Amino acid sequence: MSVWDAVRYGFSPIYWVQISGIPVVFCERATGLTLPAGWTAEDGSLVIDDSAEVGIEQVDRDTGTAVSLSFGFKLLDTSTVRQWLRAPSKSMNLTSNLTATATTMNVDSSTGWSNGDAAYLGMERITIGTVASSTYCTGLTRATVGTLAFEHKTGTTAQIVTDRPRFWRGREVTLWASPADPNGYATGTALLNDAVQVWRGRIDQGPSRDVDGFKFEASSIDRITDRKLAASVTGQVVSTSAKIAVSKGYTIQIVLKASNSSSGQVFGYVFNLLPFKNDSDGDLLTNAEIRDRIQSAWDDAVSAEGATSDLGGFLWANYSGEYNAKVLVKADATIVYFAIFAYLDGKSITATWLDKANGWSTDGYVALDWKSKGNPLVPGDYFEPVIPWLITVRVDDGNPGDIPQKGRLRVNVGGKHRLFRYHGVTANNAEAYIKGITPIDGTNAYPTKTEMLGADAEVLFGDEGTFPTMMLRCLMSSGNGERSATYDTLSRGQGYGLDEGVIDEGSFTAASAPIGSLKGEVASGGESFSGLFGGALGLFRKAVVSRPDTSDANGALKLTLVDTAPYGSGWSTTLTDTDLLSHDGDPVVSVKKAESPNVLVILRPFGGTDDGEDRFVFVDAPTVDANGRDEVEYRVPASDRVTLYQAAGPAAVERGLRIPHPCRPRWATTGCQIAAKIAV
Amino acid sequence: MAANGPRIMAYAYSEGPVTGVTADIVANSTLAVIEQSSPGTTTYVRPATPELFETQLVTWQTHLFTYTPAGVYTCTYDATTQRVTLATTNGTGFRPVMPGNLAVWLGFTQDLSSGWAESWEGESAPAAVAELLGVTVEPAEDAARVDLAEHRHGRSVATVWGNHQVHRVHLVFSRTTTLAQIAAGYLTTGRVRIWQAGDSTPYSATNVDGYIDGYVIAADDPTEDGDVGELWTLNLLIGVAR
Amino acid sequence: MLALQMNNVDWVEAELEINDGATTAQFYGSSVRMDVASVMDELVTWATSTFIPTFLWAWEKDTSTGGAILTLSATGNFTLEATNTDAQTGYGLNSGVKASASSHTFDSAAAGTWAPVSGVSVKANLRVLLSGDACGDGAVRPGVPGLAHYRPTVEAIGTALDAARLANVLGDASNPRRASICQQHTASWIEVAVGEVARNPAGAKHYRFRLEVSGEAV
Repeated sequence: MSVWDAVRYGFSPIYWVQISGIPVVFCERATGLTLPAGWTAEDGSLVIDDSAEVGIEQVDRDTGTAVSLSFGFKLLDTSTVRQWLRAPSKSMNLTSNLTATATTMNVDSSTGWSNGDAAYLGMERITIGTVASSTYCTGLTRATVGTLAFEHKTGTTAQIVTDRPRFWRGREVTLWASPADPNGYATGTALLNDAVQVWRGRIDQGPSRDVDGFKFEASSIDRITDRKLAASVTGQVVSTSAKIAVSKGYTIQIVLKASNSSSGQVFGYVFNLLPFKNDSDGDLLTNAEIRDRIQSAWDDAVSAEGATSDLGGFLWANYSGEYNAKVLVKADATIVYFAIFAYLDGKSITATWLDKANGWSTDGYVALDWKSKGNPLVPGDYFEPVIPWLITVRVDDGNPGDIPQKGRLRVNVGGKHRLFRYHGVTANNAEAYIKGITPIDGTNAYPTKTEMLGADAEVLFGDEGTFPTMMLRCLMSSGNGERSATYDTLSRGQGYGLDEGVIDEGSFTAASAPIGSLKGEVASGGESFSGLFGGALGLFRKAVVSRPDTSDANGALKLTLVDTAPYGSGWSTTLTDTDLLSHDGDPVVSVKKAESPNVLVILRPFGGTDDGEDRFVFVDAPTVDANGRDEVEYRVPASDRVTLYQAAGPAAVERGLRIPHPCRPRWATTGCQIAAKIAV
Repeated sequence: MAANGPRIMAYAYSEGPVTGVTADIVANSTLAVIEQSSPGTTTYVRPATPELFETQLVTWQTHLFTYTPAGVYTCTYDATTQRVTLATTNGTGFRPVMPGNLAVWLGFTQDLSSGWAESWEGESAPAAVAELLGVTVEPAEDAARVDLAEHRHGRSVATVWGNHQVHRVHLVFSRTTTLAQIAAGYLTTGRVRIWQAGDSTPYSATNVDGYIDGYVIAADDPTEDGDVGELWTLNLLIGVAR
Repeated sequence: MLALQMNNVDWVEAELEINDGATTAQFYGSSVRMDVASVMDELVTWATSTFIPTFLWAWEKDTSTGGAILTLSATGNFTLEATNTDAQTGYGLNSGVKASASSHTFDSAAAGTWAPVSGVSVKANLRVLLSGDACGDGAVRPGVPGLAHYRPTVEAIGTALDAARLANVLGDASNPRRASICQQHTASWIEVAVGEVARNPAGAKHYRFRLEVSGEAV
């Protein structure tokens, strides 16, 4: 029972709108009731008279998405509206990155800002607790007034902190209806008491100036599934050698003693080599570079100790790919015995003893017991990668830090796109070092190292798992983990960052086979949710639509996975004469018969990309003979060909159906929602 | 409470619960009282479903008897004086409380913040009912959508769809006694019951002067007639489900 | 009198039992949706061929409801019983056997009937001229039987009771809406499709009705 039941008794709805980040409730008529938490003012400036009809959604059964119109609203030119649309009067810039959970921030100058001020960064609204100094603010309350927490990085427009929102586009809009009795009395003590959530979406356009106010257009929350996700990270392969991450303070201590025939010391040195003192922590160096660094660190240590009369350079002798460390000792005939100990990073790794009974009469190299085919810092490392592919990509667009640890990589080798899976990424400044590369484009052959060097590479942000889980991650991932503990796990740009309060998770996780259990893999770069999952949704007769959550007191709208098959286990409600409006217009309109294709083509893209695919075709030959070929195609990014084939067979059934389109008043039984099966 | 004359009465929307302070969409559904012997307790009562004003008075009366500490109540409306009276019959002093917009609905526009009495009468006429000078209720018309299609070779088909009947109603009322109630809005929207004159049985095809009970589909603006603006008229279209 | 086809009576099910003393037989309508006038015509034809007497039917206005009460008479005595609800509602008969007589006036107005005070006037029941490309109707000229539909003018004047009765029977009319109207001056019944019904006040206590009808209903 809600405002819609009361409408029959003369009540009418007062519509009001919440816009995330703006602490003003815009309503058709000021009610004087208590506002929702975080909202501080009410302004009777909302005009919705000219909007397209919203809340009347139809489902596109072949792509599993809702098709709904935009909500157009206008805010009349009142002093409150002007307040919020004016340009900011105060601004400051972040001087260091702000994570999604930080409660302090560093700024360039906080002059003019006071304790308790509201600050806008990008889409987020933050309340500043205390302006601690001219460059430091503390006690931040994040994500106030319906906004969500984001990471804000310097060097982007997200570093600008202002006292008014810089843009309205992208802000979430929620439309509510609260009842007013025939006398105009708005019921309840708080606006939310008797309110029903009517519509939810995001501002697409606006504000644009109209004669008497400012117009906005917003598209429904389920239209977000058409938005393309952030493009992938692209770059160029700059190295195909194995790399090791080093740390700046890494110390190699070499203790060197030369003794004479009576066990007296000829010379003794303790060198502390800092081969990576000019590098930063985490820098990636090839084996060769590390060897070079050790070599020059030795030279520096020797000259610093003034040992050049006794010692020479450091050499890595290469015997069939195995490098052996050697040090040059100058001639001294009294020396009969060397003891050399090397401690790599505090661990005793090599100990070398050498007897030279006849004395060290000429300059010569002493070989240390320090050999390695691979990483010099791991003596005895015979690391010969089974998969020889370890490439470094210098990134030209995108942040290598966002590259997920597992995913897909597309490299343009010799004019042809090759697709690989990788496992392991180390990102450093502008480079990403990618390991564990395996081809997954139908051939097992690797390109040569020469072919790879200099090739254009693109990291395809991807995901794998069962379809419902992938869909939830795609909807909720924001990169900062704040939207959901379970599903906000992918990198920034791989998901829409919707808060879990907007998603009916239960409907996804309870999805039955085949879609509930089929495993898939997708590459999300440049694709939208409907592009990635629409084929599977269409094939298995599901859709993702915005639907009221009946367990919520206000009927909050949530993205729900619904079943769109015309058959099923009975209908959810029956519409009778008493439910149908008929004073003007036809209450039930029959619409065009849905297409019933007789050839079903199912494509399984490799690795979820466009570069190649498996193809299954199901043909209903008798119908083709009778009616001619009528084909429909679904792209289903399943990870396994066989399971997809098994699941798709039963789904390729007669799809002909005629769907009446009832004009349902809102007071009809709650079972009658979009995609519900009804008896008329 | 059968009409002595023509009148229009509205239904009040209510969705229960029958007692308790917490309820949804409380505008004209809930009556509350505080009894003198237990001044800390406020008893709220309301019908469980939408009810006609005169039925609502009876329902309140019943629930107040059940849920208040001591009182036996009567809730009555006098058509002659056009006032609602709330009273106890067992000597219990009380004070009514008007939640939501009930003061307008019942006509208790006076100050009710203090005082105890065994009988309270509304200061104004309730917006829930209006005694009319006259009403014309046309017999029902079948409100069907008909499409008479005529095709070549003499063929005719009349397709028809409808689920209700309509009555055209013309109200005539006095400015001094009734205009305020009509203007309050309860009587010209939602569900109403209109008595034509004297007959307290429902309208039917064989009882055309009975009362009609239906939903206001359309209403025009009240119109002022007469030299001194005393006479007002209003047209309504009332829909009755079949 | 106007007899509308109703959707609340199944004439194939409605059973009317007649016994002329020698034979007892039951009558059923030929199709589910029929108007009472057509049913009575069928009944009379059937009864005359089934029983010895010759049967006739007539109607007259029921002043208490605005409908028409039927009378079935014969040249001999017979009993009459409407044995089920469809028949009782449809014919306007109470349950139980009517004692043998040569004429039975039914008990209440038959379903779907409307007999206003003035009678239903059916004027100018002629084929009409239409226009249009290659319209077969266009070939019609007055006096030449042609292919256009009939467009009589159907009007009546009645009381508030008649108005209420008409709204009531229209509410239960079948879809598409068909009726038989008695044109009294030719003593014939015309089958029409009934479109919009307009009602306007006529004087202080009466209404003028105008029905938009079209002949040769499908």
